[in-house]
Amino acid sequence: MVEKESKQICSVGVAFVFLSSFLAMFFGMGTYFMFNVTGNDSYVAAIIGSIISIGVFFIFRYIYFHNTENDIYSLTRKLFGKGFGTFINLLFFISFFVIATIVLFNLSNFLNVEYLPDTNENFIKAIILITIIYISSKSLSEIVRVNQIFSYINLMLIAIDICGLFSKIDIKYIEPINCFGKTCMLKSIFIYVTLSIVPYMMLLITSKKNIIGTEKDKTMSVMNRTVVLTNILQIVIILMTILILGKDFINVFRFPEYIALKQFTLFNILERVENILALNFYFNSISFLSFLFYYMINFLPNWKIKKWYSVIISVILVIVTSYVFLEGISFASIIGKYIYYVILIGIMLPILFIFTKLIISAKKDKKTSKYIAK
Amino acid sequence: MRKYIVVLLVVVIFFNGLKGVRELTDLAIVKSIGIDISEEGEIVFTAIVTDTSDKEKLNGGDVYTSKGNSVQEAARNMVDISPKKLYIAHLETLVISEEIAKEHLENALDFFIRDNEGSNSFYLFVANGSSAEEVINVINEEEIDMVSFLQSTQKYKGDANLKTLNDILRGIIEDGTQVTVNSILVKDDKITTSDMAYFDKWNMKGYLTDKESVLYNMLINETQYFIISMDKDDDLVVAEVTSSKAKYSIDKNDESCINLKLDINANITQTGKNIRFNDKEAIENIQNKLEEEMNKRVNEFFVKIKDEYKVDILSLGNLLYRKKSKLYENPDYLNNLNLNIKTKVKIVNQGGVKKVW
Repeated sequence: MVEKESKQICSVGVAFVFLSSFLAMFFGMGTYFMFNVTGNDSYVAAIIGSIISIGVFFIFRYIYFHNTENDIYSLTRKLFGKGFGTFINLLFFISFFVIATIVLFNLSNFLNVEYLPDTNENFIKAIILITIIYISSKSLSEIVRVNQIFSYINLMLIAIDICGLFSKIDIKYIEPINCFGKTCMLKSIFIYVTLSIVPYMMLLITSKKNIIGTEKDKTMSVMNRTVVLTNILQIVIILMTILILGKDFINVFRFPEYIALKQFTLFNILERVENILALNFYFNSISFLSFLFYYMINFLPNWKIKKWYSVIISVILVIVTSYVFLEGISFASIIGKYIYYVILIGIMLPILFIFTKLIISAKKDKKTSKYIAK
Repeated sequence: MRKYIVVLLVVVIFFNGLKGVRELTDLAIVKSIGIDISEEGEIVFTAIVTDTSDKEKLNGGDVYTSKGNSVQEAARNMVDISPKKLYIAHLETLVISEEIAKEHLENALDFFIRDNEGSNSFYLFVANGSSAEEVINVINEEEIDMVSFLQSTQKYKGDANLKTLNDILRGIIEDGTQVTVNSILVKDDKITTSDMAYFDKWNMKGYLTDKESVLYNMLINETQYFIISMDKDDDLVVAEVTSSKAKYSIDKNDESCINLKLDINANITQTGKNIRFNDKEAIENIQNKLEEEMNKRVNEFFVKIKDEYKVDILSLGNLLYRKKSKLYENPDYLNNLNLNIKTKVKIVNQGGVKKVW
């Protein structure tokens, strides 16, 4: 009984899967792309984007609460049969692999640029992946628990960041307002909404079935609150970065949020602590990569070499990232062009199929139950 | 499980610190750097390396000079004379020669902007009338704490500001903004902060005078404490400003008119024998006179900026840009601008003295 409970997941744990995935998806990527398109107007795009994004969340939430299986893979197979179901799962797998390459490169590039310029980036990737391999060798409940611990630390660090950076903000940097035009604004909103789809997908890593008994009813409200809070947090991060660095300065650096952190000072006592504060970027990416690994491993057939899957995926990731992305700026320009297609075709389209199928099935069930009642 | 732990332990041992690890004892912690350009066109790099073994030498250290084709090369060449690699994360002061400031600032600063160790929160100075190497040598010999030195100058005299490299860089990049940089003068083997150097984007154009530097810092809200001296002898009034705030806005009826609202609180610290504060009217009289004086000074300074300096150091262009004024589209917008100054001086304290003599 004790062992069974330890394998189950609490509702806060599931909600925090979203939190860390979301922050990892935006650090050095989402915010960077948005700043490139809408500069100091990015916070407006983030506000509008978050409203739309919360709308998109309801699709994922619907699937989450109507999933009677263990995970999304089993659900697709149940809804669409083995053939088409596996095809959809394959799309998911490919998307997760592409996103994992992006997140891994983004993190290793950040560490390389800011801390270890003399170190070969493949060594950095190796260190990151060893941690991921270790975490993903555990059960989902343990991965979620590790992430939960990281998330509490992250929230604390972000709160300290906001306190220490508050004195550095200058409200004049918000102007000129709306100087990038409607097209750029729409593009920036599109970036925000599209990138937020991936963290929502991470919520489907498990189903309501695996939540601890009494916490099942709490899941919905915890999830809703976390989604709203995370979106607000991201808007605050974007807004503060703009107000600290200004319109032109945010586009100078590859990791503007980190450069803003360098301005951190608390009552002139605590200074130059950006290295400690930047740990949350590291934790978020590690957690996010662990979830992506978990998803990928679970898709692959249950062969004898299953325990080596994470190692094989890691090796392929290192090779792919080394050959495709040469360095940070070119990486961002490649990703900035193609990531949206991967997310929309590989994740959003199948999710819409699943959503439609679930609604149709639910209507059919309703009709059948009415017919039986008559 | 055990296998993973063994692998992790092996990895931790082999990758410990990764490549490029530096022990604290191997670091040459740099406090100040000077950059000159030699007659042959080489970069001359001078650095004060903190002597961590001498506890009494708090602000001094060893001075090293090296040359190279670039700042990075010159810094690296220092290994020939100093056994340790330079560590600039704790850099406090960067002094550049006038020649660098006039023609090579962008190239010289690029090294510091890209450097991942530093936070770009150090202070930049132009060596006024001497080489940066000379300034660095005096700083070291006199064991001057440049941060405290600059802070007290900014606080008590107002002719210097505390803008770091990041602030200066932002000023250069931003639309409609120009920057100024503190300068240092070497006089009788002593250093003093001198007139501020003003820039047109990356190129230094000249120096503001001492009084203009104070006015300028007040107008960009970089200093709050300075002295206003008015009239002479028996009519002398000396006021010590305790707080000042300059606020700019574009006039609603005329885009070419910038309204400047200047709020000053001051204490009277010295007066001539004709000046008495017997009643409210007398105080108001002095306040009005101080307001007129400040209006006059600011107006004269603005006219000089327009006609002589021809560089928008007050960053009025940035205001036009932020408010999306069409006037900013004209490259010669500064010439078309007028400043409508409204100064409000409030005498907070007269020194608690009633003149009876």
